[in-house]
Amino acid sequence: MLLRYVRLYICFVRFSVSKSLEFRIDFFFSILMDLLFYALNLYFYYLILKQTPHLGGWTREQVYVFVSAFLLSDAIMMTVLQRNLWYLPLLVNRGDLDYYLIRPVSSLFFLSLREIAVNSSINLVMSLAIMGWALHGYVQSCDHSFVALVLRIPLFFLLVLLGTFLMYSVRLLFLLPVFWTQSGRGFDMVHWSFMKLAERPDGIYRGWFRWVLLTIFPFAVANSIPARALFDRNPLWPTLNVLGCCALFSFLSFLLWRKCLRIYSSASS
Amino acid sequence: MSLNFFRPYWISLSLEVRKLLTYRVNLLVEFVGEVLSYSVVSYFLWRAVYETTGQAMLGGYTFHQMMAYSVLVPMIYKIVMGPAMHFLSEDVYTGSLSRYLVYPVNYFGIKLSTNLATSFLGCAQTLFFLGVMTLIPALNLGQTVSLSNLLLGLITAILVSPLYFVLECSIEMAAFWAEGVWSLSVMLKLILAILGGGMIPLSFFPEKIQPILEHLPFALMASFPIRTAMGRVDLSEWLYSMLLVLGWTLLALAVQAQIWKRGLKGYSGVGM
Repeated sequence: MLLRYVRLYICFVRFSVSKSLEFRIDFFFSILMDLLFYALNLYFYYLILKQTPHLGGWTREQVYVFVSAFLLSDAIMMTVLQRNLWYLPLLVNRGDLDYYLIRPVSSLFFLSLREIAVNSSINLVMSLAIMGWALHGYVQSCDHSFVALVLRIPLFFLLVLLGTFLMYSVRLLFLLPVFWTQSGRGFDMVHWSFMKLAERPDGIYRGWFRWVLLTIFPFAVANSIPARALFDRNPLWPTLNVLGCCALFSFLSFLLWRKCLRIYSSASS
Repeated sequence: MSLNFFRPYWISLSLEVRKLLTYRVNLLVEFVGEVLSYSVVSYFLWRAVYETTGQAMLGGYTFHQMMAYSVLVPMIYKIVMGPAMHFLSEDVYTGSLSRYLVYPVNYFGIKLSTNLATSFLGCAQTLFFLGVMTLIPALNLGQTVSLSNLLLGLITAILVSPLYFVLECSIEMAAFWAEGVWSLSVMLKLILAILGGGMIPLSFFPEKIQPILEHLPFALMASFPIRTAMGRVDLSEWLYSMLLVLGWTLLALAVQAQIWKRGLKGYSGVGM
């Protein structure tokens, strides 16, 4: 069963590579665009950190680790999922979702992973390099033992991946109302507005607002909390925070997806 | 040149206003969502920075002035940029540019007038929304932005918006030769965000490069109208900056005309 999905995904990759190589200039421009996005984010934090030695309780090195987590998560989303999710409202409105539902595989798997942004995969490598640089800087400055670091860095990386999956689930929750509203634009705008909250360290938020961002609207969980698992003395709570949110929101999105399929009435929906 | 010359553009502008007002909720959600999220993030970020440093002023801005700056950024962006994105490339790819070419009007004139419709509505939204936001005591906007300065800032934003339009058009004309150019438009926005002072005021940049940045079109499209709205630009600087805007616009127009001429030569009109 699992092998079948792996084989299918390899086919998706092969198809996406040949498709993206047909549009070579777009391929090149997209890489440039992502590089500019990375440079811009790093320079923005550089300018902020020139003013203050700490941001949201984190040192310069810790902030750069957080930024690298955000950039890596963004790169994974852009490479693997985002392009497919953009098309979802269109598929629902045009009734093209039918073609996905009749395949003998999980419709959500097929919908979410069918197209891979190959140009972004090059930026995935870049974001990994930035993460390597940020982690190197952090390791030089932190007081964790070698053993602790050996255990925590893979945990941090794993939590970044889980945080990305959480963001995917949350994005689905904002996209799926299109089955009822016909236009997904309003919800999409709200989602992107909330996403801005994820681009800053959670330590800057205060009180109930921070609590909301770590639980009900877990936008601060995806990037900040994996970094906390690396920095904090006890990584248990950050780990549980990511795992809990991940389990809850993936369950909710899956539940909503099933409900959507029940009310979906092809092209007339 | 009689007034009749402007009639089609005027009609196009008023039609676009009516069209935008048909989707009032979309318009409101988009504007409020953008402004609120940007303001909330900026509030928490800058509060953390000011509290950590313990200084009353950073980069020439107090915390409340910084908040006013941050609140104005998405509003001024809306006015300066309008909806101008992908329209030219879409017209080239779908072949719908052909119908504009046979109309007895200027293609860019029509598109600019529809763009200005969003800018004018953006001004109205800004006035209304800033009015509401002055009621939030934590922002203290009433003390940092006066109505007269705000109006001058909005007029400035409208006046610089053709510069953005021309730059966007010039970039999108790559669609005559390339198959996907949307990332170029995003790049322009990203450059505007950092080099224009959209993400952080230019006074935070190293002192050596600040004068250079202030003379580039990016700062003239973002930082300049925002600072004008905050009353941080005197008359002589305003006039000088407007001259710069005019100069950059003329230069961009000259480049755009050349690319347009060459692009049309290869344009087949069948769409991709």
